Amino acid sequence: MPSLGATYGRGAATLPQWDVANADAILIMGSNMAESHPIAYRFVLQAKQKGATVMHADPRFTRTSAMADLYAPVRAGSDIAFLGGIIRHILENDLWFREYALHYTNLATIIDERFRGADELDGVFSGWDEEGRRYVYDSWQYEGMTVPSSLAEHHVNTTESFNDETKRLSHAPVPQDLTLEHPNCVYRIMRRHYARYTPEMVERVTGCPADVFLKVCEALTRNSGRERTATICYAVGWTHHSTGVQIIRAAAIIQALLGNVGRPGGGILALRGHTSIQGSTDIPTLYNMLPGYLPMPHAYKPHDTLKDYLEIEETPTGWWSNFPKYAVSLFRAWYGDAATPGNDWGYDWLPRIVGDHSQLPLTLAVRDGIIKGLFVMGQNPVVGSSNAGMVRRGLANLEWMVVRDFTETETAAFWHHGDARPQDIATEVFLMPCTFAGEKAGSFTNTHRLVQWHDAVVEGPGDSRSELWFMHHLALRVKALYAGSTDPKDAPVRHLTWDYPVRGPKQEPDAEAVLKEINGYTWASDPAERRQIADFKDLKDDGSTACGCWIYCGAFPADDHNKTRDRTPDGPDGPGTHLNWAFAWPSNRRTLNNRASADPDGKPWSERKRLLWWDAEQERWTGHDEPDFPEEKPPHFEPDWDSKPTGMDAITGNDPFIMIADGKASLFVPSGLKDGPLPTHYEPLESPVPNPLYKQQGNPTAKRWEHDDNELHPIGDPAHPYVLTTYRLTEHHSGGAPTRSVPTTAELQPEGFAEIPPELAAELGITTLDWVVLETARGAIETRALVTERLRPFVIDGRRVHQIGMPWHYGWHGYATGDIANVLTACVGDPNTSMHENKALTCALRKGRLAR
Amino acid sequence: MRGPTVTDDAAIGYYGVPPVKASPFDWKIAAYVQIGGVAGAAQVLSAVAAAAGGRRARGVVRHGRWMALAGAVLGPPFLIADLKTPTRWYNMLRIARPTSPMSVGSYILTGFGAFSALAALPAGRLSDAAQVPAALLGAGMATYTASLLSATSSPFWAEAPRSLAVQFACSSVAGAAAALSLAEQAAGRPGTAATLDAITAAAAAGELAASIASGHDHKEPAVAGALALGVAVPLACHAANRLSRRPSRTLSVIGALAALAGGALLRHAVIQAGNRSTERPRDTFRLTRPPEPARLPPRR
Amino acid sequence: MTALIPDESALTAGTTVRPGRRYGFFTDTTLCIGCKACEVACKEWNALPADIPGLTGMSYDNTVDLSADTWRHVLFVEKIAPQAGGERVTTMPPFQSNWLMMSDVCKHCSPAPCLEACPTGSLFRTEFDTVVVQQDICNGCGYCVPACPFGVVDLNLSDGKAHKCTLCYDRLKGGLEPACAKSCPTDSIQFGEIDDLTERARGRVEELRGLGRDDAYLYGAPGTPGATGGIERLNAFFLLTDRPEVYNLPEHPTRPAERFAPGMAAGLAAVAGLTLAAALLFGRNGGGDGGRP
Ligand SMILES: Nc1nc2c(c(=O)[nH]1)N[C@H]1C(S)=C(S)[C@@H](COP(=O)(O)OP(=O)(O)OC[C@H]3O[C@@H](n4cnc5c(=O)[nH]c(N)nc54)[C@H](O)[C@@H]3O)O[C@H]1N2
Ligand SMILES: Nc1nc2c(c(=O)[nH]1)N[C@H]1C(S)=C(S)[C@@H](COP(=O)(O)OP(=O)(O)OC[C@H]3O[C@@H](n4cnc5c(=O)[nH]c(N)nc54)[C@H](O)[C@@H]3O)O[C@H]1N2
Ligand code: SF4
Ligand code: SF4
Ligand code: SF4
Ligand code: SF4
Ligand code: SF4
Ligand SMILES: [Mo]
Repeated sequence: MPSLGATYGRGAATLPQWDVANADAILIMGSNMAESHPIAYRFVLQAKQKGATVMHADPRFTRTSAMADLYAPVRAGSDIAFLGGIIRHILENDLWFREYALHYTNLATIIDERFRGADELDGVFSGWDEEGRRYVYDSWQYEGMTVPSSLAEHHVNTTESFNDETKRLSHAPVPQDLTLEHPNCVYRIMRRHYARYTPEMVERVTGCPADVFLKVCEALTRNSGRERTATICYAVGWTHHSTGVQIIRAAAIIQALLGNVGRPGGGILALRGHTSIQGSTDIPTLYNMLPGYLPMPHAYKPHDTLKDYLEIEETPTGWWSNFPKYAVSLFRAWYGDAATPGNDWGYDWLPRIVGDHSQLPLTLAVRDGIIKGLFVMGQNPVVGSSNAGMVRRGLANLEWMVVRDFTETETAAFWHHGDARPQDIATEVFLMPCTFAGEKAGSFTNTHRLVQWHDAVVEGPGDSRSELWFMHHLALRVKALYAGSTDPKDAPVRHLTWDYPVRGPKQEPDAEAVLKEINGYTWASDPAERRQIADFKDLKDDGSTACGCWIYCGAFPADDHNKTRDRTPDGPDGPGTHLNWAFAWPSNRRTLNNRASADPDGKPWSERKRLLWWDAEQERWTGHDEPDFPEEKPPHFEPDWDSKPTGMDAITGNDPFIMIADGKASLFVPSGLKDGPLPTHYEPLESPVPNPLYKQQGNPTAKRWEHDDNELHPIGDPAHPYVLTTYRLTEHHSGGAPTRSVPTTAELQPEGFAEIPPELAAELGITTLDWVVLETARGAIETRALVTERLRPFVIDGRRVHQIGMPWHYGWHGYATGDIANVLTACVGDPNTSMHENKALTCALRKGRLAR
Repeated sequence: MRGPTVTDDAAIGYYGVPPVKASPFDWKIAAYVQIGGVAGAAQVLSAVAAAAGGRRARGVVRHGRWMALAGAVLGPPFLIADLKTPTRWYNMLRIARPTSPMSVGSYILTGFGAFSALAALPAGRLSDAAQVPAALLGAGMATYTASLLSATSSPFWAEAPRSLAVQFACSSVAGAAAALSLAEQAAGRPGTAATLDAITAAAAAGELAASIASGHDHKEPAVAGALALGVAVPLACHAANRLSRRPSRTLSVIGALAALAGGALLRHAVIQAGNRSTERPRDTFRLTRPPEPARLPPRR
Repeated sequence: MTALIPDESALTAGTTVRPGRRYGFFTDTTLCIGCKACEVACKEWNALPADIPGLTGMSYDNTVDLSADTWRHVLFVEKIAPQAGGERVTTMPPFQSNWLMMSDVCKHCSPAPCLEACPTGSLFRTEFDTVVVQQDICNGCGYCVPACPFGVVDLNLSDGKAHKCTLCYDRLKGGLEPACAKSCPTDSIQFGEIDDLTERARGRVEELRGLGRDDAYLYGAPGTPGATGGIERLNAFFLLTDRPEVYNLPEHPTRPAERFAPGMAAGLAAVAGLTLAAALLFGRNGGGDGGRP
């Protein structure tokens, strides 16, 4: 989540989900929390039982809306207009939490005089390079200094162009005007930028009636401030857009302005998807990250040597100044004794990336036969990936594919279903049975960074094997193949340490040994002499420590203490931070940036919302949570600017956002995002209307992959007049294999369907259970109609726009079946994350069936 | 509980899903009800004939006892065949449950069968003595099946427990009298047959009165048909014979057959109507309307 | 069965399970999010089969009804446009509204019409005051089926026995909370001792009314709709916010057994009357031959 990373310093939920129970108001937007996160939703209900106001803004009235006090209908893809409207409402009516925002955010910071906003340039910012379709970021910097981006998931490396200048952050405090009079201070820029996001404009763009919108503003602002806090919860209703990152940014700005971050019941709860999806970004399956959000070396960046890499990527001020320690410890863990100062700790053995290697371009590369072999482990892309028809055609171009799943998924079966002609498909498919969670030991990292251990409770059936088993034995076999090689290109494989102990007749690797390595230990060639490290502060850049992922340091603090196994709750009278329940990264902190729960003097803003405070006697931060701040740095600490301080020494005692170079939440993001320093409403790449706010129609930097198989509809295309959005049902899980193949879940939603508002159904003569055909330039599918008032027509910029919704879980396997919704979607993406835009596209709809 | 009063008819249901479930009873149960009812009433009439009919009614007494026994033997197999686990029929006698018409009925049937067997022994003191309890239980046989139906939540049955019982009782008596009349006609005793026809007519009249009193709006054509056949035809035949100077044997036989067939059809139609009525939520909600409007919240 | 965690129910539901006390459910529909976890938990624990008839079009309800195979059933009622042709809602009263969801189950009535109807004693009242079918005794007479005023118990024609919720009799014996209640993420289904639950439920109604929800009321607690017509209370009772019929529940169910005696009396009286008439006819006609030809 680069948006939260760029704003608060860490790309993760700022609060534990159970803390939502302490909120006074909750805005759920871009998530159907009750349906997709029912367990977390219990905390929303607990808050409600204590009197909280619950709001849901969504294109559809859902099971989440049914439990809300306010339901705000919004057209899919219009969230920035809505949130921008809230920002304007807060600023124009002076409803922001002055003392908090003034000190803890960059609201008063002065921006380079060359900066021009989207308000002036009709939808783009200064620095726009029309030819390269990218921005040059210089004019977005702080006056007289450049600000390196915070390292976070998918962060953009912007340091190349002004590496030398970044040092200036440690020369002096950032330029600020606390009176907010300076025309180029962030406050003034934001007021100008959001001036046009009036309630009337919100209604014109989103379709949400202005009075409903104002009720949301009112509830949110009434429940924020010194005594009260509000939480915002979101999930993929926000991320699945070509503007996804900036939508979340807008929410992050609101929460920082209202003083809701780092405080009990306040913050942003990013509801993450798959069971351990947070874990899979921490210890990433992302192509551009190494564990712990260290950037992957890039072939076209000055990353030639370790020294270059470290210098370029290191942030001189703030916590990220520790970056070299984490990098070297990681290399030590991976290459062991082979890593030496003389060979840059094995830095050269790391592969280099050359561009975007994320899912969407990968899909196209498979389609075009560039990729020859594919491992599909725990994924069902023929159902789940954008432009699924193209995905399926692409798989036929592979030489081989390994699918590890518990059943033959649509992906594994792509070559023998429907119109597929097995005789024409040469792909060799290996379907290998996996074990499920309960059949193997390991950890899950949940939506709020909580790492929880689980044991195997039953043996997996038949030949099934765990992921760990598969990777371990695959690695051993690959290493054996290269053992005798002297070719330098094989060195990365030969030098990789791979010594996990195995157990039992199946030779199952010990998962706890892996977690021990992730946690980190003092380096010794002899495993018996290694000592677990309890805190990442003890990691070193001299090779004396090894650590698989620095932020997980503390998860396994002692040989006999796997903290992720801890299961002691606080009990009803306890503080409710549950510090002895498992481990939350970093350093078991439950609420991020919790220094912000105290005022600049270190006192809680209010007794009702106390979490962390400065204990003057003990001279340290204390409270209910682990401080997310140097424990002994007093609230009034000022850096000694004459000494050109670096690292945490350049952070004052009231800069709670320690992962940001200047310690302040970035309302305005000078570096780190590709599409602008402030969220700006752009229409989805496929939209029924021209952008009512700017000449610039869509996100100018959005990723498009032009391909015959991947065409987009023009704006206002009369052949595809309806907005289509896709989403989940409680009853099924994602690609559906785990739920459609189990009778007791299959029967709950036994067939695919599309939800259609009665007004549109009447126009087209459709009634519930009729067959209907949905069509886009990518493909056509048939499904059943569910006509429901839960969907409503919108009036957008004066014209009536209908919206159709469709769950995307279905495929042809299992007991519950239906056509694949992703046949309709396209490969387009957010510029920062390459996340697809499956939440807002356009389509055609008619009654009837497909000729097959 | 507090709350504003609502008086409107709230026959709103849930997508038309039946709020109560239909019984699994089919024609086999209808057959049993008919056979058992006629058998029970035959025993009653036989006892009445024995007590009040004198010598000339001996044929009636004898036939009645045999019919009762025959019914007690032929009926239960239908009952058992309708069980979904018939091998466990004897569990019916595992307990006695006074709240359950089916349990009580099992004992009525058992007792009736036993005493009817004794009563069917060649004439003697034992058979005469046995006939009294057999006839009392026979009266139960003629009516408990109606209570069995109305002691459910199926609206058609539950709506009018009294009239349904009267209907079944009358129909049983009419059927028994008709069957005995046929036997008398076969034996060449038109006189006793005429008496029995009169009893049939009286019972049919009772049945008609009860069906009017039941208040069932007879949207159920099969029930109406059964009444036409089992009530109107025997009444008409009997009336014709009464009015005519030369009573016709044919009319008597037709009336009797119609009473029997009508009774059988009635059982079947009522059971089907009861099962079907569960599918009409409006009927269930009408049945379960509170005697006084409850204090329920307003409809939003 | 030896419980792995003794009295686990104390940890998960805040109540220990002891024979001789009365247990049941308070289902607070205002907390239900329609996730159907209860339905799935029940099927998994009791190894019940799924019926997959296809999409019903009844909002998100595709299991339709309680049956021999479905002992928990979540129903969905859409009320997004409250008045016909009216505006769609945006501001709503606190807690679940406008899309009603309710997890229905056997009411474990006291007295229980199904049990009162059962001729074999297969249906019995347990030491926890719940009502359970003993499949080893049931002979499939099916009489309990129409007897139930709530359309709960049902025959499974493949095994010829009646089936319904057991209130997890086996789990209660092991000190465990029933599977459905344990899996409910929002505590819409609350398991406990009846008296505690009733008190809690009355408190919840007051609380909701304090929040302006005049439409909240209990169904099935003593003295409320549902506990009527000779049925003193439903051990599984509900908090509802619309008329019972909206949830397919009868407002004033009655105890069918109460119709037994009146029916018998009337029927026997009819037989008696006809007996008398027959006696008169036989007597007057002397058995017939002496009468009119
Ligand atoms: N039961 C169940 N739970 C799940 C999953 C599952 O498949 N089944 N999947 C898991 C995974 S992988 C994930 S990522 C999460 C996702 O969790 P969610 O994000 O909650 O899931 P979705 O249903 O995809 O989308 C949420 C909502 O976004 C709305 N929406 C669509 N377009 C827009 C828009 O432009 N703006 C706004 N504001 N809302 C929009 C949709 O109507 C939908 O109600 O759920 C996880 N939990
Ligand atoms: N149109 C549209 N498309 C979407 C979305 C959308 O909202 N709309 N959502 C997107 C999102 S957020 C996501 S996360 C993706 C999800 O898309 P996928 O990741 O393709 O979906 P899943 O079906 O969850 O695939 C997981 C597979 O892993 C298997 N599995 C489960 N456990 C294990 C295990 O332990 N080992 C192994 N080897 N396999 C296992 C399951 O059986 C299943 O087949 O889809 C995306 N696609
Ligand atoms: S499915 Fe698992 S992760 Fe999702 S809400 Fe339920 S318990 Fe939580
Ligand atoms: S609800 Fe029906 S099945 Fe359940 S106890 Fe009551 S009468 Fe019996
Ligand atoms: S079907 Fe079984 S449980 Fe139901 S009444 Fe008959 S014997 Fe009892
Ligand atoms: S109590 Fe047990 S049997 Fe009854 S519905 Fe719940 S899980 Fe099913
Ligand atoms: S588990 Fe609870 S919240 Fe979910 S449907 Fe059942 S009762 Fe409702
Ligand atoms: Mo996801």
